[in-house]
Amino acid sequence: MKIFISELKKLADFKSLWIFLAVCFAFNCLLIVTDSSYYSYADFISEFAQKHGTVINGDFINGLNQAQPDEAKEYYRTCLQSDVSTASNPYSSYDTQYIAEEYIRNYNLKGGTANQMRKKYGQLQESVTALAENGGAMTVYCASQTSSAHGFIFSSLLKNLTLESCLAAVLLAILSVSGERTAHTESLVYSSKIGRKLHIYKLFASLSSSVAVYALLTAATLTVFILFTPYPGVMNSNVSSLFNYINDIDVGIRPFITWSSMTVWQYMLASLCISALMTAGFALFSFALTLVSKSSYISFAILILLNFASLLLPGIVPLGSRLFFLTNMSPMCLWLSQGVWFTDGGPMYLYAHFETAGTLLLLAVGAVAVLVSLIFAKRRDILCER
Amino acid sequence: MRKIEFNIIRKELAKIFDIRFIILLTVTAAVFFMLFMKYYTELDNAHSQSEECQLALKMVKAYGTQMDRQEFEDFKTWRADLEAECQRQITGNPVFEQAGIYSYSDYMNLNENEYANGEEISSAQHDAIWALLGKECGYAQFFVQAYDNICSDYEAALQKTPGENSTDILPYEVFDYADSYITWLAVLCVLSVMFLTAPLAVNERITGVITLQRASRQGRNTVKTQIIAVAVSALIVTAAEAVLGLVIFFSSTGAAPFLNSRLSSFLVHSSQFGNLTFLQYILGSLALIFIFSVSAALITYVLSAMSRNMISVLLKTIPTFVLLSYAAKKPLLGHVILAERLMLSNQTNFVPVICAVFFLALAVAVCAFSVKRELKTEE
Repeated sequence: MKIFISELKKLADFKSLWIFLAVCFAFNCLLIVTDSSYYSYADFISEFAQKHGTVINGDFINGLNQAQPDEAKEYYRTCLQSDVSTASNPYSSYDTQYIAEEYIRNYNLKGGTANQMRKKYGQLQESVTALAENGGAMTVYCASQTSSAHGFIFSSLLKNLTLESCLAAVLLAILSVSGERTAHTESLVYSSKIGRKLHIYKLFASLSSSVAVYALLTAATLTVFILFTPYPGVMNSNVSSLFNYINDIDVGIRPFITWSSMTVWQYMLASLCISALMTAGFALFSFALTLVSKSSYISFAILILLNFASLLLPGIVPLGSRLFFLTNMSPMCLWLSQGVWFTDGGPMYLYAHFETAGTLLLLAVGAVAVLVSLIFAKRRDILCER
Repeated sequence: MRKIEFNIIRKELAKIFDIRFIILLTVTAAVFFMLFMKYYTELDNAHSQSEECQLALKMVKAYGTQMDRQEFEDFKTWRADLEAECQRQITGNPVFEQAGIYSYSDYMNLNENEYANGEEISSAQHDAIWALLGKECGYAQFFVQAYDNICSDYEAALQKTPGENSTDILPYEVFDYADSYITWLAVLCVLSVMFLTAPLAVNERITGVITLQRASRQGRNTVKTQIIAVAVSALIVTAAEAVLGLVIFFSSTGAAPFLNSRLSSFLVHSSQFGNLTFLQYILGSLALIFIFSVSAALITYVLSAMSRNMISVLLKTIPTFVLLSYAAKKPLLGHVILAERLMLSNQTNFVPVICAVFFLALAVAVCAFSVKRELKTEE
């Protein structure tokens, strides 16, 4: 435990890391500030929702009709009236099978893949039925600006947060592993009682520090988000609100349907959990690569290169093949699709809960890579290398 | 003394151009090209813009970089050839026969009178309309559409006051794609020089070579030589990537005949570029890319010299790369958002130049600071 804590201390004492985190935090704040053009309407909805709730029902509409906002907000009241006046539950007669058929046609899916695609949208139909019954769709979220607001929170802010945390995790793991080498204490440590078992402590130190850094950056960013944006006031709405939609290149605009009914807060929490696991996965890979590599710089470059190169794979393999769907499970592809996590994921994913499966796969492969690298490091002949 | 310095520069360059880094950089550049730049080397991504480019190429061959009124009269005769090609595709083609279309005028009647007015048409007629727009028929109808667009743009340009839009031939797609391509080329150059420069100073600190250097005859002045080597390496890498990048672009797009056309072409629909030609625009962009690259290399060197280990360098250079590539993204024409927020948007053309000069000045300043620090530091 003492060694683990001292390894953690070494990482925490690294000034450049704090500067990096401060820059990331400043960038996230800049993102929040530059999105402010959407805040006025959301501000009005948020204020209204605090008094009348987020569910669009008789009370909500009566409250809206009787509301007497000041002159500046009267325009937004009219907008909201217009938005909710025609609101009806889109899920009561919604059939998801046409989405599957369109994908099968456009991507030339055959046999097992076509059946699996149909099965996925059959499963989604159950979620639609549940949504139709519980009335989750009849919540206001950000009314006609829901898509922009949802896009900002999940496809911009949280996506950046994941990227920054993964980068920090990679660098922390490299720092942890290469620390002894840089300080020229490697031989000394290896000849001590703890010997090469130190790698285990370093692994846990880099994993826990990565998750801690992620938690810290998230907490700081979300504090600013809660204090300076109007969105928290409407986040008790269901994420599958009738106003939330996906602009699909194959089937056009379609509702944003999650596998299980959840509020925007719950959706955010679930996204943050997956991001934290992804951060840990990147830390594992970085640890493994640095342990077998002689240069921390090259291992960082290779890791980044491999991740970007993985984006090319779906374009190389035959479209619609099982390999195509497998290549879309790469960490970078998963990260790029963060805005549609916990939904069907569109034509790029064949199975439900692709984000959870993909992240667990990343962790499993990362764990195997760490095991292999630990065995390699244990058998490495340091004297011959010198 | 000069010879010795040159030798040291050569040795510093050898350190920068480490074979491992060069191999990694080559693979990185290839992946970067495939991900961000390849799309802009293919002018056939959209119709009828790609047909407009093909027609514009023929126009440049026939009339030169400008088309005057007399030549425009000649150009008007081209429509007959395009219609003849459409007719050739229709004749004997069962897809058109099933729809009751036997001539190009039948096709146009259906297309303009019924289809365009939203009237109900049979599936055979629908298929026939799309067939002439398809690959099997050589996109014949798209050529006619492109031709009509060019004619209407030219006539609109003639209506404008002289100097607003010239009669130069440069398709918007060629200009737009070149702009985006050069934008990404700038980012690639900045990435490459930063990647090669980052390990230089910090490696010497880690390996202890720095103390030997300080004790040598050249002493602490080595830092000056290293700064020169870094700038030279940035120029070499940028020149190599820029030349290779532009060769790939022009060989893939075949856009070289437009180099002498002015950007105020009647097809570009913008008059903000004055008399700047496409070639001058590219050369100007390249000059800015060189400035950004050298600035990036110098700043990275200083960050490296101020770091005690490789991770420290990475933690400093990643945000710097984001900032520099963001500034370099629109080398000549773009809107640097930061500058726009500073109310400089009415000087759009000068903003990237101001940015480039600012970064160069910053790089020189931090290098001067680094030299001063090195000469005075007591460790």
